[in-house]
Amino acid sequence: MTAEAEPRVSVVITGGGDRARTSAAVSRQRGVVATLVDETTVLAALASDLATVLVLVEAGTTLEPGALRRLVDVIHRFSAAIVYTDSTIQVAAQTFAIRRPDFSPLRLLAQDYLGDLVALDVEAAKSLLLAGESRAALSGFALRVEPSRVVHIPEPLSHRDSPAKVPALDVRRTAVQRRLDDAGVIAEVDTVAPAGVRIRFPVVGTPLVSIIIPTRGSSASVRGADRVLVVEAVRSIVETSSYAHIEIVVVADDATPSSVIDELERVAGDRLMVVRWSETFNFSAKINRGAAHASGGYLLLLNDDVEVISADWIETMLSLCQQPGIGMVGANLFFEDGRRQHSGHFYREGVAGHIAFGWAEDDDDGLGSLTSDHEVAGVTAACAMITSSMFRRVGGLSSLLPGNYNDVDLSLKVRTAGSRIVWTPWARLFHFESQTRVATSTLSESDRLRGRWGTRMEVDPYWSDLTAPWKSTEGPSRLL
Amino acid sequence: MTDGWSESSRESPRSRESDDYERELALIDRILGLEAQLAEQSVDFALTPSEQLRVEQQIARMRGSLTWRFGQIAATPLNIVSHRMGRRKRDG
Repeated sequence: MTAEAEPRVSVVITGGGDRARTSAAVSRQRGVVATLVDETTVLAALASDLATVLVLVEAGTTLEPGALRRLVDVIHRFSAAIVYTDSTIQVAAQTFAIRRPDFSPLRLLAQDYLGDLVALDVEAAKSLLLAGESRAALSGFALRVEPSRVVHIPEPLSHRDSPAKVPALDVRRTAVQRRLDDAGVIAEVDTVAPAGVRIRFPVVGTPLVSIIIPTRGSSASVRGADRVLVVEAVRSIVETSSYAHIEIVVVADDATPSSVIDELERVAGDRLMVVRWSETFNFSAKINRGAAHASGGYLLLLNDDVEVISADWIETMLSLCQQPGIGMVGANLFFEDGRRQHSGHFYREGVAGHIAFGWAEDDDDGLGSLTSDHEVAGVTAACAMITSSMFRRVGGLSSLLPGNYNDVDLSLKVRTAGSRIVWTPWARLFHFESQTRVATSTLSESDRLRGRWGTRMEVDPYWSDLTAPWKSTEGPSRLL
Repeated sequence: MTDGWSESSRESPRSRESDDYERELALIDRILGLEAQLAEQSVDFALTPSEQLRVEQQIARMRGSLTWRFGQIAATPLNIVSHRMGRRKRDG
């Protein structure tokens, strides 16, 4: 019996941290023959070496036992071009996990989330290096690779004792602009306090956006005063929004008071269209009826218990919705008290939930996800934009799910159609949904959802099992 | 809310076209729903490599849990009996 030869790996230590520490960590690795290569001579080394994998590891990082072998195995198993991993960081006596998303191209444009330990198939490495590029260009390179060949290992294979030095804002801004240029994406890059970078995609043309609001004209107490929800929602749209080319399609129950309809006409004028709903309650079917009467190329599904915060919310959602491959866009919704209500959906172990539900506005995860446009598993229909063609293609909202999970179902239909769903932090609205609302879903609705999508709701590609935010008092507020 | 509205100058009346659109949406939804249900039953399920790794990690986590281990211990006598009965059947 002959022992199988251990795979050969070339390792480049990048960055300006503690190289000796990382070098020692590499030398302790078993299951591979690892050779340290200087960054300046890596191409020549790859040409003469028998290594099939190039590993880039940030100086100061240590590795989990067997990490390099795991990287090699995953590259070979999936014919992957680029593999990256989760990591941990130790602050004082506490260890924090950094969970990274699976390949998330929109996010990667704005944020190099690949981390401190990245492996490349040797052919991919040569392509990158032949272009004279280094680690800094890796995220741009990943965007040019076939998406299925960019693989995320959801295991913490690298560790740091302190956060990596975050580049200065102008350096990050330049890097993002360069990725955009490389990808042929026309957009501007803004810096956002305290440490964020925002990509502003331009709106192409001035398409008509149809805002569809189902209502029964009910009232509720908001900030201590009674208000007719739909009237104030429409008033905030009309008075706050900077995008003018809209129509507001209100799908109103027969029982809606005539005074409410009169007030809506007064507030919205010619932009208002009222559609009657005389049947029993079915949120999905009401939205579909609104879509049947809408004229816009873009549909903005909206609950009647919202209030617009950011003036450019429509432009923000529209410009993302116009990006290739993006099928639906969700917004950043807050409770009346300013806590987070919706930052995208996650679907895990057959259950759907709101990301960062109840977190304070300035809370975030270790990657700064809540200040970055990024792909999510789904978004709420309380505020979501979708093209009318995509809406039609996936059969709108399912009337078989009259009250619950219809947005989860819609999200999964859109993703099954091959499109990505994006959540943006920059379209901000209040959503006055009761924070203590008890879910009243029927068994048939949850059964129907599971029957359709149960397996595909087992793992969430974009959001980890993080249930509490990172707090600056407890650890690093963010890494990127 | 008893004084429901009777008419509005901004009301868009239902039409054959809009009714057809609603029926079309419902029909497409039923078809996509059935396709999704069929895919749920399919063994050949298309997961991306990253999703495969997530599922494997989830299974590993489950098998490492105390609940799973206690379950395995609790089921041991049943497994032995079932194994012996199977062998007797095979031996005739």
